[in-house]
Amino acid sequence: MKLLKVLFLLAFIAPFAANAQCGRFTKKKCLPMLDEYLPNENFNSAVFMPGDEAEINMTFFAGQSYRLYVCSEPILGDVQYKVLDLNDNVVFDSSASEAETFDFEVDNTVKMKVQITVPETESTHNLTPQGCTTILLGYKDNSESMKEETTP
Amino acid sequence: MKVMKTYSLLALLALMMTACGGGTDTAENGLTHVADSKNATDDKANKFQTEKVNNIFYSVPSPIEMASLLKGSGSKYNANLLNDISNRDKYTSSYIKAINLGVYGADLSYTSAFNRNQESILYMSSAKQLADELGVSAAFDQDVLNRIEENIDNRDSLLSIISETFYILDAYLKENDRSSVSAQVISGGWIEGLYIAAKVYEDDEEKSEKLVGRIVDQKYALDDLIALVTSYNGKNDLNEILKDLKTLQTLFAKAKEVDVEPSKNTSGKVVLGTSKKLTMTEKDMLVLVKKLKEIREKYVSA
Repeated sequence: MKLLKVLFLLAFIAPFAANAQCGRFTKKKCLPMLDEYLPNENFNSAVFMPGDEAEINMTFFAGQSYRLYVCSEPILGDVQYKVLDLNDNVVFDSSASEAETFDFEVDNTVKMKVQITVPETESTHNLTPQGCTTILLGYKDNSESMKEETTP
Repeated sequence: MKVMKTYSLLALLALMMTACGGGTDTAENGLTHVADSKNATDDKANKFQTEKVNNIFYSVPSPIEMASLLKGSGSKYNANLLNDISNRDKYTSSYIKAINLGVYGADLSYTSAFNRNQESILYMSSAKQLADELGVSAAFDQDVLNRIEENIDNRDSLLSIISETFYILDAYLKENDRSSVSAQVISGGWIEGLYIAAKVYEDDEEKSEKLVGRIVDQKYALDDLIALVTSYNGKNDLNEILKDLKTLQTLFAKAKEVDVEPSKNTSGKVVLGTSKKLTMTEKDMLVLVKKLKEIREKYVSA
């Protein structure tokens, strides 16, 4: 009886716990990868399943240095991402890169699109794996090198 | 026995909901679902057939990035541009509190980017008060305040703590079904960041081209912000801010693309860019600044 009560509670809590886990997962496993880059303050994360796709438009500003990182729970496999310009030319493809992050600088302000793909898996059982995927953008503060002028 | 059966049935039902609905949180995260054409009931071989989800996320530059861009443009620090901290006690509705949490966050980013440590403490305290009143004090806990005090003389650490705090705040809001509050905070922060830049431009006798570029480039960010706010406006509680943002969008539409010579890449790093950049006439800039001041004033003096 006690066990059933626990199961009952767990079953109802599970969906909410899974969502909350993305925040914890991101803080623990993803944010440290930004290193000296400051995180953009938008939290873009969700629970994904095999075959899911996501897209995000981003603006990168002239003179800034950025780090893009797509961070996923291992259960989702090799989640891949591409950075495309507005004419759909691929600027970066994670499947063709050995680096975990995409570090770049920006000459003129530019809009880009990031596409994320969770690989399909051949499931041997009836349960579909699901896990968090977070898209992180960090930028490096380059302003300090310039002379600070202040009003009195 | 009857109770056990009821519990078993409910637990089974709940587990099925969990297995099938893993991605459904995404609607609250501003994500759009596109159901798979294949209906789950048609596929008996896979009883946990899940819908294919097409997720659309939105990204808006942080106020701290705007402050950094502003400082990088060589502009001067001006404390008079910021929202007075004494205003915080005037804010009564949750809506205005959330927008001004974003405003104070942007002010905090500005003071920190310009090494104004004492002002940073005051603005962090104002932001914390509004966060507490909005029930999101989890992001602004004592640990954050202690870290700020410990690192008050270390600009890089301070900027890092502030960015992380607002990131965690956004995560907390989105994971607790309060995405529309998140949109209010983000909008408030973006408006304040742009307002500061616009005021700096207005007061700049030379009307620096670099400053114009920093402001006009926000046209792209505004498009993304409008998409974000629209996606969280399911209850029409963001209509007012959305209308104001769209008004700004019509003014930003006056910006023109001009050809530029891409600079040579000597760093060896990947450099992204285009051969175009945005610019705007002084007349159109001043119309934009005037409207922005009106919109910002409406929210900070509410």
